[in-house]
Formats: sequence, C-alpha cells, structure tokens
Amino acid sequence: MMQSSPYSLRSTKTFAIVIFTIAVFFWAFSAIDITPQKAIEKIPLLFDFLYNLYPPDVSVAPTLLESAVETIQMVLAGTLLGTILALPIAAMASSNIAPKPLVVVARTYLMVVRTIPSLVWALVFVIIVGLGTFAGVLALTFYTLGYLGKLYYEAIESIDMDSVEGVVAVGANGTQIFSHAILPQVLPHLVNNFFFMIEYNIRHAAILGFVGAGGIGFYIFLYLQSFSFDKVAMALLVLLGLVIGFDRLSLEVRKKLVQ
Amino acid sequence: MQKHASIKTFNQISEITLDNISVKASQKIILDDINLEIKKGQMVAVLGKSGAGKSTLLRTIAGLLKPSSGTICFNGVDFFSLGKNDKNSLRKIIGFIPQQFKLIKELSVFENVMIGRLGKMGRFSSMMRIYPQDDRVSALECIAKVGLVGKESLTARKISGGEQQRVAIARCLAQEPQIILADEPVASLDVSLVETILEILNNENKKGKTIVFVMHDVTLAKKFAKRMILMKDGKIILDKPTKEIKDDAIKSLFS
Repeated sequence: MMQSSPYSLRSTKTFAIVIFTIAVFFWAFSAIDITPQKAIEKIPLLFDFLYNLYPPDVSVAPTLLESAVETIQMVLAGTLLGTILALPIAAMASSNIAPKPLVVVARTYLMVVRTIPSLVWALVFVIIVGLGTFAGVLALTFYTLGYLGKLYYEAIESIDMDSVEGVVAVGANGTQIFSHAILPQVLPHLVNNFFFMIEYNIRHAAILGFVGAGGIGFYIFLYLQSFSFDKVAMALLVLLGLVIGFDRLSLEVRKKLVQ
Repeated sequence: MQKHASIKTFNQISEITLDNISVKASQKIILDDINLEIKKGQMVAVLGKSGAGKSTLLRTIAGLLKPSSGTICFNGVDFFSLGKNDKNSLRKIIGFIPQQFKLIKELSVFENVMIGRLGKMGRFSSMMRIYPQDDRVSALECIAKVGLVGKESLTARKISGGEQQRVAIARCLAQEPQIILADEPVASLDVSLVETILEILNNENKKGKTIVFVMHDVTLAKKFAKRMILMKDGKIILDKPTKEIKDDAIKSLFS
C-alpha cells in the first residue's frame, strides 16, 4: 500500500484550491446574462463603434480643452480643500496623539465619508447646490477627505514619538508640537499622497460630469447620448492627454520628494 | 502643600523635592522610593551602572514621566497636580538634554535649536515659522557656543551622532532654562569636545542655574560636580558633596 507523503497531501490541497477557484469564477460569470453565442454576435457592433470613433472630430477640441481646464481647476480645488480638511481630522484620528473617544469619533466619520463613492457625492451635491463645477469640487473634497484622512492618520501613527518628547520637554503647546514635531515627520507622506490623490481625482472628475458636476465628463456624456462617437473620441484623447500629463508631473514631483 | 499654582510661582525655582518617588514599568521597579532635594544653583552629578535608574530619574524630574507613587515638587508645588498650562509653563524653565538627543531629524540644525525658543513665542508666529529676530539671534549664538557654525542649514539626519548631541545641548541652552537636566551630555562627543561642553554647563551653573547631569566618567563628574548622587538598582545609595566622597565608594558601585 502506498504511504501518504507530505507531498501528496500538498498536491491534494492544491487540486482542491484550483477546483474551488474555478467554481468561484463560474459562479461569478453566471451573473452575466449573455451566452457565448450572443457575445460573438455582438463583436461586429464593437468594431462598428470603434469605426465610428475614427476620425476624431477636431472641431470640438477648443470646447473640450476649455472644459479640460475646468476639470483641472475642479480637481485642484477639491483635492486642496479635502487635504486641508483631512489634516485636523487625521490628527484627531491618530491614536498616538489624540484621546481615545476622539479617535473613535474621527475614525468613524472618516470611514463613513470613505464608504460613499465620489459619484454618489456628486449626485448629492448636484441636488444640494445645483448643476456645475461647484458640485464637482464638493464631491472631490469629500472623497479626498475620506481617503487622505485615513492615509494621513496612518502616517501620523507611524512617527517617532521619542523625538516628539524633545519638543514637549521645552514646554511647547499643542499647536507647536504639531507644527514642529509631527508635521515635519509626516510632510513627505502628505505631499506624496496629495499628488497621488490629484492623479486619482483627475480620472474620477471625468465621470463626475456624467451626473452634471461639470468638467470634461459632461461633454463625454453629452456626445455619448447623441451617438456622436467622433466627438467622444476627441474628448477621450483630451482626457488621455490630461491623465498622462498629470501622471508624469506627479511622478516627477514624488521622485524629487523621495530624494 | 500648595495644590494649584499660578505661573508666577515659578519665576524662580529655589528647590526641587522628590518625595518617595517610585517608578514601575511592567512589574519591574525602576526607581525605588527616591527622596531627594536639590537647591537652586547646585551642580549635581548622578552616577551609576546602566539600568540603575539614572535616566528615569532625570525624565521624572523633567516632568516627562509620571511616577507610580510619590511626588515631585518645585517650590513645594506638586508638578503632577498642576493643570496642562501650568505644567507647560514649568517645562519652559526646565531644560532637558536627552540621552538619545530626540531631535526632529527632518528639520535643520537651526530649526531644531529654535525648538528651544518655542516656549517664548506666540502660537501663530511659531506655527508659521516666522521667528522674531531676537529668538533667531539667540539660537544662532547657542549654535556657535557648541561649535556648529556652518552646519545651521543641514538637516539633523545628515549630521554625526556627536553633532546631534551638540544640537540637543544648543536647543536646551536656547531655551534659557533655570534648571538643566542633562542625560549623558557628552557620551557621543569626541574627547576634545567633552571638556568644552562640560565647561559650558559649568558656566551656566555659575550664572545661577541648577544643573543635574548623568555621567559615566567618574573623573569628569568629580571635576565638575559639587555634589554626587550614586545610584544602584533604582535606589540612591550615596548622596554627598563631591569632596566628601571617597574613591572606594565609587569603585564599589562600579565593581
């Protein structure tokens, strides 16, 4: 009779994992209400769509560039506001510098804010302040606040508290301890994540226009609705340029920060 | 004993009193029933083997560590009974040079020394790093005193251990405290600088400041301190004027 070795045991385990993974994928794909035959039938439509994208309609470029500038402004304003609001809340959420009850309240607040996607924030603010970039700025502000708030309190919690004691010892007040002992230690993290957030928000801002929160997304949505795919293509090109541009800029700045 | 004190009480600290101070950390006794009185203008050396409780004693006097039991009083006022603002007012006149320097490594030498001046500055101006001219001059003078001219703009991370120690000393001098608590202030310094730094502390003592310093080098401690406290296993085993302490007592401590 064959002895069961650790190797055979391991291969049985691997086999079970593979079967389980395949089963999960089958289950996931069962949610798609399309058969392979139908999917194949749709392929010409895809080519049709791609065919209609070309050539991009250059005539709408000035309008799109103008709205792209609006998107940039929206992103910068929203990210900056969100960052400014995130800082004090992150300080309140840091267990190494804030009292426990405050930490619980601040963290719960950040968690709630973070759970709501930026698109939902945009819808909420379109209802409250009306259509336009202001709703977009507010949506990005809240989304940034939730996201950066968490990253910032994690950064504050990782600082060297020993060196903070050196500042406490001279009789510095709370604000001075924050500005001279905590902030210098987390500043590279703050700036790094700020640029990461701008890069991230540029992509998000494009979608916000779909619900009327201004920027280039508004035109993408408009052209899609009127089946003007050549104009959509132009808008996508502008958006691509914007994302690549900010990616490069953010990469360069972050590289400088690391040095 | 006065329970609450106003800031005015601390214009002159004439005595520091430790009554039955014990410090425990995870069931281990670090300081064991310490009773101590230090008068204004004294220059005291604290000696003992590693783990004797010297650093803990200094951190307790600096009000950075709350003892498990006992009181630490300044002019008869219990430090830990004070409110947050009064505690801060008192800390402003107690200078502390930590063994591990505790610099903000991301800040420049100059800014680290300026930290010593924070207690004298307004909340807004210090937060925005708009330092008054007098404070800047004072910080630069302290940098010069410890021999770091030309290194003002270097970040603390980029200088050597000995230089970091001198920055910590300059930060304490910039604070213009009435009491200086120095934990091994010359441990990381080149031999050539040791006496210079101790001479600086000696000069501060001559100006009327109370100095308490932890030291391993017995010869130097004897040269500069007028009173010596020998510690062993969290207890004070000897506390006498330097000239009354025999070499045998010190030898037995380190044996």
